[in-house]
Amino acid sequence: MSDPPLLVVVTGPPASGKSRVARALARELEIPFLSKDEFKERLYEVFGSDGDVEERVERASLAILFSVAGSELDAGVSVMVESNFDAESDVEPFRDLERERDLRLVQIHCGGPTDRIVEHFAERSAGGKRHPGHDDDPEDAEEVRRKLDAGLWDPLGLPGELISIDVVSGDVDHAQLARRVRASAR
Amino acid sequence: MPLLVVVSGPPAAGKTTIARAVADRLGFPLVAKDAIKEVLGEALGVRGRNESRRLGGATFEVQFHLLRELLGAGCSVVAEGNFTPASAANFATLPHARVLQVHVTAEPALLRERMLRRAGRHAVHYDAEVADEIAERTRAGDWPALPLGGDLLEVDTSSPQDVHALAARIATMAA
Repeated sequence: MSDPPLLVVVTGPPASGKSRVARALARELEIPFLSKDEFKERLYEVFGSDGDVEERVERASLAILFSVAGSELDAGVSVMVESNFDAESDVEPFRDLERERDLRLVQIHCGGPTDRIVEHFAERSAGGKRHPGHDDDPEDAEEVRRKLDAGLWDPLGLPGELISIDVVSGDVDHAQLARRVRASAR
Repeated sequence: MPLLVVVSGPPAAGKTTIARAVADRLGFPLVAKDAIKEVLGEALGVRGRNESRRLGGATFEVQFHLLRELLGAGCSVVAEGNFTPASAANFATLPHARVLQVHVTAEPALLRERMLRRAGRHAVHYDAEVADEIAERTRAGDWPALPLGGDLLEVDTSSPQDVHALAARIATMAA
């Protein structure tokens, strides 16, 4: 009997370096990677981002992320999911995933000094490199600070190991992080 | 090298049933068009034919994104959908995989009947409205086996098929 599949949850505030670390780590672990933002970008391409579309796209991207993660785990395939998961509303879908099947859960929380994250968010919003659908605005930086302070992007209350990293202040060694994930998942 | 099982053919040919049985038998994840469409459609609150068409495009994008992720990580997968020959170009951009295609068809008149019968399905589908069109397009050859290379198995569901025996046969081909 092989080990149950691994569910690696990468979470943390916007502009905390999550997706870069997650993408590299998924490659290191050789597991498929499901990023909420990557789903959103594909949906923006088709539906645009006017009016209430942004909210609908956000909802649909989370829905497809959880649905696909479930069906991959059901087939015994390990998977990594990445988003700025909401520490309140996004916990229940994970609990459902975990309750309904045998899996090994490891959470990686990307954090760092609040000032650096807010600053990074403002820089990224002004930089215009992200998909225009995200509609990032440097003026939202203070809202990001408020949500950070309110704990919206704190680690999720989930079973399993929690690994906290700070990639805002410095780079992490992806191979070493992958070894930590494998060791935590035993 | 991962294995990519593609279950192709017109709507209402019985692709989903066969794809599910094959995925379960092989222990591969199933990336099915309609399942993605239903999850997205429900969460987006898609209403009306026009939005449903756009939803079809979004579903296709998401499906290939998922296939790319799975195959890229070396995971074998079953992909199911009413892929048209134009999508062969999209398949060609996927990470390298061994391909096994199961092309599922049936008599156009039967497809039409089945479309009309399943018209109570999820609201994102327009089965009754498109039943005639599907039969016509099948007659015109819009959903042939795709030029993907690899192994090909033709399945005609005009007469009843033993789906478990079929899955076993496909598992042998996959071995």
